[in-house]
Amino acid sequence: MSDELHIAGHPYRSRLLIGTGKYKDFDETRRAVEASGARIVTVAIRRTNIGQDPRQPSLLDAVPPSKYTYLPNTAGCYSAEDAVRTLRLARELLDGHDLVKLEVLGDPHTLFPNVIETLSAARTLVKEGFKVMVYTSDDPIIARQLEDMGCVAVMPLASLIGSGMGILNPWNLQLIIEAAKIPVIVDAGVGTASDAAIAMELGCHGVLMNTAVAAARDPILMAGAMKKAVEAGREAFLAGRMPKKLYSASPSSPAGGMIGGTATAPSKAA
Amino acid sequence: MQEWRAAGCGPTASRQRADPGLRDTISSSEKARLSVTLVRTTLIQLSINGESRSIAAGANLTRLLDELSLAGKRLAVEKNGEIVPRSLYPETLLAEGDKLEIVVAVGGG
Repeated sequence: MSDELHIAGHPYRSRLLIGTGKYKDFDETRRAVEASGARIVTVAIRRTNIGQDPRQPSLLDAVPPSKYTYLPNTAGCYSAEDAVRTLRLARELLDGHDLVKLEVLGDPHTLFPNVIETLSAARTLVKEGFKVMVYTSDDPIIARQLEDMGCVAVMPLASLIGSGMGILNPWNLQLIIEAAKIPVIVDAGVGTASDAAIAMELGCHGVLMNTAVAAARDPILMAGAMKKAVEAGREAFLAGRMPKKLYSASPSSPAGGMIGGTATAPSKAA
Repeated sequence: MQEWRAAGCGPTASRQRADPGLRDTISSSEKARLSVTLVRTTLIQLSINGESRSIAAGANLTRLLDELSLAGKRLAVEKNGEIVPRSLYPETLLAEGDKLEIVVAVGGG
């Protein structure tokens, strides 16, 4: 089945986007990314450690940018200015690659997004030609404004970054999904496989996660579980679920032919 | 700031600390005699990723990255708030007080 995730006109084989932080070592990062089947991986941009042995292994060796689409993020930025600077550096670092993840945080305690600064940064970045995938709150009005501004994907939180609390407000996510013409990707808050499946069943186009995999007891196994959950949730969404009913008067097994019943009259449903 | 040092040696903060008294321990006649092997190098101070460092005046960005053992690494440089494209490293001369940010991609969500 060809059901690719299209972002800014580019097809990706996986709807699971995965972060590369918090792993034990680069080998674990590599194996988790491989097990997840993700095609897009987020990376952070940080000052280089001057004086470090240049032969030390790097993320680039474990998760080569030739094999995966790097999505540089602005994690840790608390102002539009810092976020824009960071992504300009990222574009230079990645030879003009312009697909980026914008996130501007509002508070170090909750890591909740600052949507005012996010809107401001998004405006600048779109003007400078970046293809902006934007992390935001689950506010449908803000999501619409970010889309109108020219962002290529809107990425509402399911719950707070790193909390693993799952999908706290499916109704808001549904409002965002219904209104959006660009991909909606749940970013942050997924804790386990069922959360990812729920996001996809709601109609999200993808799920982005890091901690749910990296902080699992067995990150590689969890990465595989997430891959299956995203695929299962997507297929369930496409298949169209049955309506929810308080109870059903139509059992799954034939009502007639019960042993010991009368030959003619069909027995009542149990 | 001026410092006497052997020609060709890359000035670094640690080297300065290692021979702090070099300038004072060489008499002017000795300096003249040693002028073949010692050159008067003017150093400039830079801020690199928030740390103070010195380099010979007139050095370009290529030389700085080389001295920091960063040559050939996938990185990006911002000088005084402006991105320096990789192709412009050789012609980017460093000046006293320049503020540089040198970044790389690391694991992150």
